[in-house]
Amino acid sequence: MTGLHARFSLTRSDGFLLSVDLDVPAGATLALLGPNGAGKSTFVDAVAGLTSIEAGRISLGERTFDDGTPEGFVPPEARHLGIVFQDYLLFPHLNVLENVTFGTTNFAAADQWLEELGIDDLRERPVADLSGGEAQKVALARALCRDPDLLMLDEPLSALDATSRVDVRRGLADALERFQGPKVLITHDPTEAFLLADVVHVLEDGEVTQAGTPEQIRLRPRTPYAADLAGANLLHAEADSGRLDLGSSALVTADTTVSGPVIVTIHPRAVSIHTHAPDGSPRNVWRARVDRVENYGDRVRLLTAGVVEMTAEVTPAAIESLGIGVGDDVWLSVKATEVHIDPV
Amino acid sequence: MRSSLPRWAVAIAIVAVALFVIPLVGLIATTPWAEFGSMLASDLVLDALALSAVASVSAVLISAVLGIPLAWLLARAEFRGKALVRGLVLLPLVVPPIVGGAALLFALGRAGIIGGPLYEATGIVLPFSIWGVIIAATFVSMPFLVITVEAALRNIDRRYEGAAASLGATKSEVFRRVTLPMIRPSLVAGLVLTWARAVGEFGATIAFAGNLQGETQTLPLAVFVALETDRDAAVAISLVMVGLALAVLVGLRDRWLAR
Repeated sequence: MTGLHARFSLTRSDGFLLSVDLDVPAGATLALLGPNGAGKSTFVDAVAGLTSIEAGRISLGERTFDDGTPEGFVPPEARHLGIVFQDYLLFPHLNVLENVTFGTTNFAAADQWLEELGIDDLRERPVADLSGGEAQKVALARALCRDPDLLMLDEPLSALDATSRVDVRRGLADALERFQGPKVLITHDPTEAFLLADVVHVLEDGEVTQAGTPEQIRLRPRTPYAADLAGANLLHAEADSGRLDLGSSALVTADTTVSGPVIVTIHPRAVSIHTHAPDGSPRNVWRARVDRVENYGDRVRLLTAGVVEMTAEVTPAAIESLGIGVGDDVWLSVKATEVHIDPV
Repeated sequence: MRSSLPRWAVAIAIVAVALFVIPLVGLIATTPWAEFGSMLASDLVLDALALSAVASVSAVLISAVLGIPLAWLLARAEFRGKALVRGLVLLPLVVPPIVGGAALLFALGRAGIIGGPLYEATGIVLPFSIWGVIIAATFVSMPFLVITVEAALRNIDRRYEGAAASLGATKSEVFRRVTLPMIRPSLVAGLVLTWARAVGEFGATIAFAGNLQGETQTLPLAVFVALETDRDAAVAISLVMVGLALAVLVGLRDRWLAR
């Protein structure tokens, strides 16, 4: 198995310019994270061969798929990729088994994937009758049972409601774990990218504005978009009916439905800063020291160290009125309703 | 439900409906029910019925074979003169059928620009034969299939075709295994419309194929002849054709008449 190399630019018929430069080694997962309209699906089309590039090169190992010339273009049917498209695109006139075996004669592999993804009993089902989570698994089985050289998932969870998303994401993580080739995850959801990918590329308006490990992007977002979506505080914890055990400390969340290991998400805007111990009811209060101050124009981020590392976001005016700078000791507080948890 | 339209609009609508209903009532009222059965069993009617069946089904098959790829081209390909090609395809819908039949005769007749060399080379004569009937019916009815299928091809979500291609299907396989099944409702509607138009064809047939009983005389032509000679037979055949048309409408009612 060999890696994906995609360094290219292309102009869509509507004038939109996409330009990327990325490599995904075999076994690694790269997340392309960006807002709607950033060019994510155009990237999928270019790698899949549904659109051609203008300049650059897309290759998988020794095989070049597209080098910007008509002679160098390999049509989609000859690329042998496994793609889970946005909205899954299951063929509405075929049942589950017919969808899964659409691109293969290897029925043993189809059987195996249907079983492993737990959708074995759905094989005769018309795809219109599937739930979102089931449809996603069928799409995954359809992509995987051809034993493709690359696995690409375009917004694999965005069509699902919050409850099934957790369950399906776990299954997705297993499938990604086992796939040997390069993996590309296209998403607008930072949690998804951080949980599933080794490397995250932030795509904005056709250009990669930042690339790095989830940790790097989370802690040092370089653009307002990355700061806003990817800059959330993520913590690992053990949940027990609203109580979150972080090891060295504890937090309280309003979500009492989940137990077990979770990812805790706290948006920097939800973190309040005080120069004195706050009055009133917030239960999540702790002392911290300001390590760094980052200015994003209309807002300022404070990176703090204490029992947990936490980024807080306030307006420049608030910083001024509080008179806070690097090295100062502060009190932080977060409302229980602002502490979001996701089962791992 | 209370109508919110002004009364004059309702009155005009009633007149319009009457225009459709009155001829039907007249036809049923004049039908010689006593002799209806024996009339339909006459040679004139049976010959015409058989010929109409063969010619209309042949026209539908030819239209499908030629028209679906043409619709595909019009819906998907970009080429110079596409607007002109689409205009030419629609021409038989607009041109009076008898003019179309005359044009076919000038082109494919024994002295025509294509018919002449064809006769010289093979001895085949297209006009005034069942081939003429089929060609005339195809000429007037194929546009219905092309426009219906083209519209359907424009309306389906092309991402499904991309998904099929990425699963290893060649362009032809994608068309056969994904595109055609996805446009199936429109395709069926188009085929039925094409067939209905082919069955009713009169002008181009009489100009190009003539009116020989048992050879080129289809049901509409039989009605035309019977109106002069045997009005009761004309009524009986007409009623058969109205029945066929109604059956088609009922068959398609879920598709078209639901709204």
